[in-house]
Amino acid sequence: MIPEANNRDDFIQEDPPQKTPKKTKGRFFRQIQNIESLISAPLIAVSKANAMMLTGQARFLLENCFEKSNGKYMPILIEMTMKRGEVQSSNDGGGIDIATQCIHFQVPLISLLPLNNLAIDKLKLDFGLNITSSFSGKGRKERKEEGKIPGVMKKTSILNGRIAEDDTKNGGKNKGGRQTSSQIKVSIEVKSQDLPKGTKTLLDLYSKMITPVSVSGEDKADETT
Amino acid sequence: METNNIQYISCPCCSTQIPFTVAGLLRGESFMCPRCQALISLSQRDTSIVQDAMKKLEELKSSHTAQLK
Repeated sequence: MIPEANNRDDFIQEDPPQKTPKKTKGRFFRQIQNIESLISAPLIAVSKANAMMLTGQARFLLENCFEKSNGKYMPILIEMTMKRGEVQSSNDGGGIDIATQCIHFQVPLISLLPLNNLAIDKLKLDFGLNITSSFSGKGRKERKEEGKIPGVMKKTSILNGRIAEDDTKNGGKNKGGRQTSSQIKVSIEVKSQDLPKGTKTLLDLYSKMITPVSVSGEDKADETT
Repeated sequence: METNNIQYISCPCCSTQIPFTVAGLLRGESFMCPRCQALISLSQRDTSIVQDAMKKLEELKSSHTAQLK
């Protein structure tokens, strides 16, 4: 159970040491952190998860969509059938017949699989941040040899804060009824990207190379109707 | 199996993009080219290869989902 507290500092201090990983995680978010770390943490988590999935996907592609022969990866080809009607003049003269022409062609397995499924589709994260402290100062003069404009002062500002409590119950106001001015709202939205450029180039190349191959003589006889 | 996503394949005759679903191909359905009305389908010989690959892709997807939870 979370103990009752009059203010946030009491709340932190009175929070007993937690042993279970779930509660420790909650305590981590109540700690004062650099604001940059707080905002970038979920983005780093998403990119790590995406990297993990992309690595798995790349391994899957090599193992299942290609076969290695003589040190080279060759695509596994899948045979497909194409049927189309062809207008022909009938043998008895004058009339028109519609014959079905059957053509076999091969496409690489990679172009049939729905590969762009393996990524985080969408992430929307909204949270409030309480600014607890800030630091702003002037740094040393940039050196000429560093390639920067000489004489320009480097200004640094550091903001520290922590994840704010859910303020939807009290309408964004603290216990005194005043608007909490040091609180900022952070909204992070991540959307899935298209396939990697390399994979797209491969797919484009394969699509352009699809050329129909006529059916051999014995097949043609029973496939033409 | 999430194989109902619409994908596109170039028509071997007119290079128009033909919409298809892997689920439909595996069921033996044919998909029509919107331009030249050619019908494309998966050859029965290679159905098992596509089915196996789809199964492995779904396994990979569910293992990633489990890791993320």
